[in-house]
Amino acid sequence: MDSNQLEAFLTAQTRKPGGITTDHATVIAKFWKNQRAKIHESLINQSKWENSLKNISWRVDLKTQSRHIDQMNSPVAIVEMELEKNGQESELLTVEFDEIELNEMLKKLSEIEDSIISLTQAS
Amino acid sequence: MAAVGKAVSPPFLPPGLAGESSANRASFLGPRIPPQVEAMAKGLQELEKEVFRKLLKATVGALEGKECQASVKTVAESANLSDERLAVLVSGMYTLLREALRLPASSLKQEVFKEDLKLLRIPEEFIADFATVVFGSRRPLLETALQKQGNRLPRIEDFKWRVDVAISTSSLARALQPSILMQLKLSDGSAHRFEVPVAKFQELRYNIALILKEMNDIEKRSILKIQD
Repeated sequence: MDSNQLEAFLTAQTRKPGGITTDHATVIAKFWKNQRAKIHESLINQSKWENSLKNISWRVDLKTQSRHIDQMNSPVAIVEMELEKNGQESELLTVEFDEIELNEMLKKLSEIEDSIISLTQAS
Repeated sequence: MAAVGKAVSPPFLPPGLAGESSANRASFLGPRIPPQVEAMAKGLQELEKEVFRKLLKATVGALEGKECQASVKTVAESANLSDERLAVLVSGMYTLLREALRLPASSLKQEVFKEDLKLLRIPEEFIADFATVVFGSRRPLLETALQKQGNRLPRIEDFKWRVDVAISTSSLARALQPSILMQLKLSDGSAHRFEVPVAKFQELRYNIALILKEMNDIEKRSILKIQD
């Protein structure tokens, strides 16, 4: 409901017998203007029930030696994703990436972003 | 393998073959030669070159993580090798190659490698074949295979995504807010599906880009480029 719709609705309510006063209408209009985004967000969250990504933390390690390799010098990224489960304890998902895998991941994330941009611009 | 280990004598250094450098230098296999390598060296004496090459090929395959049971079996059957001899040869070759590949090419020189094998009384023509495996063009391939064998956390094997726009829901007549659904399949076989709000998605993308940058920085700095 945008501000024009709101005004029309509130005016209609003040004219109704037993409806609200103009003061009430002003207060309600103000409240709606301030809280609209928050209410919308909260309602959107109510329509989500899948696990959702809550937090990301990461670390870059440098591998130096292992049982089968005496010397190596390859960085790896360890990424921990906290998945929030509805009403349950959140789950930690830990994955390892090397440079190639990171590049692939980033490429895919860019694709997603492009698709979001095209969607939000169209509407 | 334990039985084989007991059967062989303690590490020997044939006096006639020891060069000047080998007197004060330990073999690349360590101060104590692994028993399976010694047993293999003995077993090589009366082995046909053809059979040796086939076994070596199978061993290299095993190092690369391939299944080589079948190929070893066919070699053994065609060459009429007993199971015991076969076990000695393959495990010795495997250990020898793995120890040699463990050291970076810069610190284990080909001459040193050949000299060490000579001390083990491995026939000259077989030494050349071993050297081709360790120092030849397959080396990078073998190294990558070895790196994969290290312990590691699961990796992402498959990444599927979908951008959802909920149009209307039970709590909102017109929602029209995009969100992302991701499905990750990991190398440990598990699969995870979760939603990512747009704000979180931007955070994720930023962080992945940041990690990549940090990684490049680390590689440029090359903290560990020890050469000996």
